[in-house]
Amino acid sequence: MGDVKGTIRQILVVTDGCSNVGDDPVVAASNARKQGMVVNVIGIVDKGEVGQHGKMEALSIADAGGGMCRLVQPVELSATVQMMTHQTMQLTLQQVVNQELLEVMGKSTEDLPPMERSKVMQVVDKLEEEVRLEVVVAVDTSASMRDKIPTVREAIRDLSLSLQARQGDSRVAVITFPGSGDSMVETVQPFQSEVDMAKLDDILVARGGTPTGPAIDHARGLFQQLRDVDDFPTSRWTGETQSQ
Amino acid sequence: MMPQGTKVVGKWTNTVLYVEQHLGSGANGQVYLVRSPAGRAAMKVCPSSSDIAMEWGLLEKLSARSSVFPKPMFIDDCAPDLYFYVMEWIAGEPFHRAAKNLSPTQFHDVVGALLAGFAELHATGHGFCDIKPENILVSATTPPSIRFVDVGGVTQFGRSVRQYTPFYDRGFWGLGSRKADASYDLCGVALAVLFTSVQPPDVLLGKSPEQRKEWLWKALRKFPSASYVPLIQRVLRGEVLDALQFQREWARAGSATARSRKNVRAASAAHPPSRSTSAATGKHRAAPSRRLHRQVDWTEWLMWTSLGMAVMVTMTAWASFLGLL
Ligand SMILES: Nc1ncnc2c1ncn2[C@@H]1O[C@H](COP(=O)(O)OP(=O)(O)OP(=O)(O)O)[C@@H](O)[C@H]1O
Ligand SMILES: [Mg+2]
Repeated sequence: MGDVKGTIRQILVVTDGCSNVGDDPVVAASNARKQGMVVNVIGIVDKGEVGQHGKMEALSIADAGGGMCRLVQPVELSATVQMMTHQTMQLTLQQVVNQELLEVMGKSTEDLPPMERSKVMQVVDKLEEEVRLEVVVAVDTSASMRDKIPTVREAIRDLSLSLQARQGDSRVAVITFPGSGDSMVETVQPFQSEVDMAKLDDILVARGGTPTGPAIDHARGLFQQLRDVDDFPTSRWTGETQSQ
Repeated sequence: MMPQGTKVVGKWTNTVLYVEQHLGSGANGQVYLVRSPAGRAAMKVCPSSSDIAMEWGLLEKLSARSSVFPKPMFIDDCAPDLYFYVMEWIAGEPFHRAAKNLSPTQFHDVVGALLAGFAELHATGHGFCDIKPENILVSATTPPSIRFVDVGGVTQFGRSVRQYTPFYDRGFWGLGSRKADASYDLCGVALAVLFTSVQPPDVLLGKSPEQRKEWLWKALRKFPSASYVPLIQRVLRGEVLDALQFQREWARAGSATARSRKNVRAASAAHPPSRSTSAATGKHRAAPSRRLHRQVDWTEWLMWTSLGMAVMVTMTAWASFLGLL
């Protein structure tokens, strides 16, 4: 197998309300998108509703972040996380493949006869399995989330199970907002190939508002850090002194 | 939803179809019974061209080597945004509804035939993965006939399972990975068999895998046909590795049930003797040994050029795609 150079970067925000602290999350999402990340938002609706305001905000964040937005009951959370991750990956890859087709053939997938389209989709499918995937799950830990945290935890465990099954490289990080203490955002787990469930058990609701914007900014920083590290060679230093 | 009598004309093949009846719906689209020039068939319609294209590719690939899934007829679309393919129409009842009306002997035979179907599919190197009773159609003929519908979840062995239904997913119960292999499917079958007697409650969705497993073992102990319980348990634990083995052991467990039934009958002598349970009537088809020659064509090229792009995800213009969802 060849070396898969592409990386898909996703931020998944799980919240049950409106942001009320820090920078505008819509601006944060659009900044993330400019750097090639996709921001998805899941609003958890428990019995009542997220509220008109929360709904609008969730939609605007996803819109600005080039991702999807879903409002779901707690029982649907796991399935929704999977579905979103899969569908946004597929869309991202379709776009890449489409661009490639346009450049070389002057045609988009939709212009192709259905039989050929089906071959293109098999390529997309294979890419989806093999491309590197980096996901930051950003969990709202404001007081209203108290009852939903166990469900969120299971959903993250479940996502991790799916990522582990992939043939391509996968990395997942988990952050909470607000963080414990006075911080607006806390990294529960930095990028790793699996979710550390023991660390997830530490997720508790925290005091403070709902700093959704700072959380998205923080997630963006984590990707940047990972990318910076990747720029360094993995080969062993053999003792040569480098110029510069 | 398309009303009865709707005329659909394929843009690429000019084939005319008339919608006769709605057969079912799912997360991906709608399925209709249609009249085509070649006869009655099933048409799957999706709002997204990619889902249809993907499923068509799978149906075609499988139909070359197995007949458990519907035979593909053609793929087409119809302006402005109707994407569809037409396939063999499968008569039959979904597994969970059929199971309610089957005698123990018939149920035994149906599961045997089901396992033969899985053996046939697995011989192609693919798993069904999105196992759920709605996707298994049963005709309780003698011998019973089992067919699968919804090719959307079919996954090459070794790849990750992307479409599944939580209660039928091995990973959900903490019983193993979410990688497609034969035992992933067998676990789904064992769960489907178990859930003919008891349905898992939704509250399990918020519980940990340990708590889910606890519920599962309790449900298994209450399974009415006790002679199958040890086998089901072994399958759930991943100890039965291929469909044919499961099928053989299922046949054996069934004859144990029949024996105990006979003993009860002998003791009470109240009922006339009925047909004794036969060994599973699954049609053993020789596993196809044909290997598909590797396809090296422009799709291969597309794959490599797309992979080679150093920065894959910096484009921003794909939001329009979201309109498809
Ligand atoms: N070839 C067929 N012949 C008869 N009935 C069919 C056929 N294909 C599908 N159906 C019926 O239509 C229903 C929906 O089809 P299918 O499962 O393919 O849709 P879907 O959108 O992929 O659903 P899901 O949500 O399960 O992924 C099936 O459960 C079945 O009852
Ligand atoms: Mg499907």
